[in-house]
Order: sequence, then structure tokens, then C-alpha cells
Amino acid sequence: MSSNTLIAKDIKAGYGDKNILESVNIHIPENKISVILGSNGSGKSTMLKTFCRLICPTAGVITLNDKSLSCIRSKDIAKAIGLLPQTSIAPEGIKVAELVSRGRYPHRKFMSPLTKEDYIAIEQAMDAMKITELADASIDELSGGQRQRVFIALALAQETDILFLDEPTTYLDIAYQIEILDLLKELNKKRGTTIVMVLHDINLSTKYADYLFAMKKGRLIKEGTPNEIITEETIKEIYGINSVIVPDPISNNPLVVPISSHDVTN
Amino acid sequence: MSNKKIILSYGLGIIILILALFFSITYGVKSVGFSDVIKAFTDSNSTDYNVNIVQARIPRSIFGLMAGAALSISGVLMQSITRNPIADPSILGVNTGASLFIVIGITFFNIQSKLSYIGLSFAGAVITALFVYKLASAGYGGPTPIKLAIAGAATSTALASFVSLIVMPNSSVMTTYRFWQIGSIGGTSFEDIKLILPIIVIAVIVSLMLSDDLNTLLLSEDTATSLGLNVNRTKAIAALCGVLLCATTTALAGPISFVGLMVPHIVRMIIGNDHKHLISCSGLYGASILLISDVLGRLLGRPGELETGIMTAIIGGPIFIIIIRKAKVQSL
Repeated sequence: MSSNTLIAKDIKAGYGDKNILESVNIHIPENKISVILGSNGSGKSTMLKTFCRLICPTAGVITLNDKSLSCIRSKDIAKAIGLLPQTSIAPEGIKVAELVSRGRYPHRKFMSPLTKEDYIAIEQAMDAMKITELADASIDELSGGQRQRVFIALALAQETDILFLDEPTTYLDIAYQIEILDLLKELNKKRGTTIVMVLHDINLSTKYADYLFAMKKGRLIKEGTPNEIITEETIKEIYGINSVIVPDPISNNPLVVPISSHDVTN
Repeated sequence: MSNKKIILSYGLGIIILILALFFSITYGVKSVGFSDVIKAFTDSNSTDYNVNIVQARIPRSIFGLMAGAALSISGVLMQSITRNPIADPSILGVNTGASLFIVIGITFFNIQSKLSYIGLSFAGAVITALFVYKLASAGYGGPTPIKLAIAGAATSTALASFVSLIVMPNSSVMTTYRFWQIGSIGGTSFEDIKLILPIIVIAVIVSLMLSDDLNTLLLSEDTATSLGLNVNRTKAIAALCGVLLCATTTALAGPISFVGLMVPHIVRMIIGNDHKHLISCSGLYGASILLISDVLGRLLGRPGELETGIMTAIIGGPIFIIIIRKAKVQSL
């Protein structure tokens, strides 16, 4: 089980001169699955990117185990925090196993070949994402869902306690979405990996998340377990839409049914 | 990538290189036999005509080997940094930038020494590379492959017209320039080799040391950063090596096009994207291709000879078209 604590304090960040995040404070719940919700432009992706060092905060500090990220060697951070970005790129024709092995970068010694530990980590990552039999396939031959699993395996080979995923299910059909999220849930249960995701689908979020962060206009407006924060008022506040919350008939989690202006109520 | 295929690629590369070196020394306007080559190496004081030809050709062959390797590795680096399969020193305009500075040097400062050629060539190459990158970065989406190619082509054309502007009215400059500009490895001596060897060796070693970093860089900048790679530093060092490699070669031989484009592309198709092998094999095969182009130029151009730069263009042009026509040219 991991014990890496990741905390954002009074973060302001954005692109160019424009700040998108306005003093955000987030303590990532350890060993849990968290989802950051928010409408387009709410700053949820910016928040995730700031945690992953893709954006440098203009104010505030992000600490990993009480040490500021800016004081930790880049490769050491990479041993604790992994990322699946919104779009992943792979060199043309690369084999799945080779691509996953690139995730070992922060662990490898300068100019030396892959070690036994590297191979074990690669094998485990491919096993966790159920792509072992695809090891020798070329990345170009894979389906969208398979590709996404390969890229998650790359991040898993990095062996980090914390894993960020930026919209991991976008462009995938519902079967692949469930498959990916199930695998992530399994990973969280088996290894205790702390998972933080940005997801667009509220109902998938409540289904899989232990904890939710709701963002609006660059601020964190609500946080808590799905049962605590998914209410008709919160949904109205985050997305500006009317909805009815019903219990999920299977899991009993809150299910959000949006109301359209064309709906006929009886 | 199977180890067998990699070992085979290196083995074949070495055999081809040895053959290319042999042809480069024996074939030409006046072809000599194998025994003359042996004699040239064993009896350094020989006054035999054929032996003297061999001795005169050796620096040319060694320089050709270095130039071919340097240009190809430069191509690998530029393609990886820009994620652009059609990047190479000539397409990005770097060679033309080097040419312009050298022409300015010849015309206005009457430069003579090879060292000042190298210095000016390097300065011109660096400034042009930065300019083209900046130009392509403007607007939406950053420096995409297509924008880089267009920015490079436009810059190259503009700089080439400056070159013509300076050269045309000066007949004396024209003569010096014309020979240099076509790209010839014919006029090189052991002194030239001694001058550029350390630069090329250091740049190649540094590039090889960057292999793992370049492999990581090819994954996307976000992934590379989250894996702990210092993206900007890696790009800067690799770009410096790439520009050094092509600028030193260009300074002495003139702009030799297409080698940096086609060699990495072919090697990548055979052995894949691991930079450790991509860089070494491109160097190996690039050296052979330049030497073979040079030999062909000597044979086809009889009784004179065709410059190496013309031969690489004749061979490289069609390959460039094939690469462009491949659907996956979008990005690496």
C-alpha cells in the first residue's frame, strides 16, 4: 500500500499570462480512486496537468510527502507519479512490449540495458492491462481500446503509487469504457494505487470513484464521496442543468438523469 | 525487434561499408587494382603512378565516410526533435543558411581558412535552424511537421536568392562558390579531416548518449515529462549536435542533400525506432551511401566527374517522393 501524500496548496496556474486556476487546495486521497468533475473550461484538466508538472503553477505549491515538487529530482517524481495524457503518441510500427518498456525510463541507469526488475515490471504491467498476448503486435494494428490499455500499461511499468489519467475513456465505446475502468478499479484494489481521473461521464464517475472533486471557473467548489456531493443542486451548480438523482438499481450509487427542455413530464 | 535482425543489420552494414570504401579507393577516372591498394598501404614511399592515385584518394574516402555518417545522424536527430519524418538539414533550410554565411564570408571578408568556413557555416546553420523553428511555431498547433517543412522550404528559397544576389555579380566568388555549392568531397585533405574529426566524434558520442532520452521524447512531450525527462534540455542538446554535424560537413563539402533524409528513413523501416541502433546504423549506412554516390558520380561523369551532391540528389529525389506519398507521413 502506498503512503505518498500529494497536496496542492493555493495553486494558481494557467496558460500564458491567463490564470485558469484560482487558489485551488486539493489533498489527493491516498489509495483511493478520485475523479475531478467540471464543465468544459472549469480547470479540471489544468489541475491535473499542474499535478503532473506539465504546467508550472504561478502561485502556490504542490507537495509530495511534504516536499515541494520543485525541490525533487524529476526522475524521482516520475517514480511516484505517473500520467496517462489525453492523447498518447507512439512511434510508428513500435511493438507493444517495447512501448511498455519505455515506461521504465525513470528507473533505468544511464546507457545500461533493461534489468531483471525492469522486465518483471513490464510483465506485470502488461498482465494488469491484459495485453500480454499482444506483446509482439505492432501498435498500429490495435483497436482503440487495446491501444489505450497499452498506454496505461506504459504508465504502470513506471511503478508509481499515484496514477493520473486525463479522460482515459474518451473516444472509446461503452464496452471499452467499462473494460478500462474495471481494470483501473482492479489495480486500485490489488496494488492500492492512488488513481486520479478527469472524466466527462458523471454516472461512470459515481460508479467508480471513491471520492469526487467538483470544479467550476477555476475553483474547487465541492468535494466528497459520490453520495455526499451528487445532488440536484450540485449538478445545477457545476453544469447549469436540471436533473433528477435516482439510485443506481444495481449499486445504489447516485445516478444523474439530466432533464432536457424537450422532456415531457407526466 | 529481434536481436538477430539487429545483428544482421550491423553485419551487413559493415560489409557494405568495407566494399564501398574499397570501390571508393579503386574506382574513378583512373581505376586501379587491388594490388595497388595493398601496395599503397604497405609501401608508403612508392613512386608508382597507381599507388599515388590510391594515396590521393584515401582522404577523400575517409572524408566521405565521415560526411555520410554525420549527415545521416544529423537527419535522425532533426527528425526526432521535430517528430517530422521529412526533416533533414536541407529541407529545414539549415544547409542554405550555412551556405549564405559562407558566401558572405567569401565575398566580403575574403575568408580562406577551413576553420573560418566551419565557424561561419555553424553560425549560419544555428541561426537558420532557430529562425525556421520559431517561424513554424507561430500560430495554432505549434511546430507541426507540415508547418516546419513549409517554413524550411520558404526560408531556404529566400536565403538561396540572397546567395544568388551576392554571388552573381562577382565572377571570382562565383568560381569558388560554384564548386563548393554543388557539394563535393573531392577536394578534401588530411588536414580537413583532422579539423572536423573531433567535432564529429564528440557530436556522435553525445547523440548516442541521448538515445534513451530521444526514445522517451518520441512518446509525446506530456508522457516524456511525466517520465521525468527534461524535454527542453534534451531537445536543445540534440539540436546542437544535429546542427554541428551538418554544419561541419557542409562547411567543407558544400550542401549535400537527401542523405540526412533517406538514410534514417530506410534504417527506421528495417530496425525500428530505438535510437541506440537507429543512430549507429544510420551512421553506418549513411557513410556507405555517400561513398557509393561519390563513386557513381566519378564513373557516370567520365572523363570528368559528377559531384557527390548531384548524385545524392539523383538517388534521393525519388526516395523523397516515396516517403511523401506514404500515408503515414503526418508524424513519427
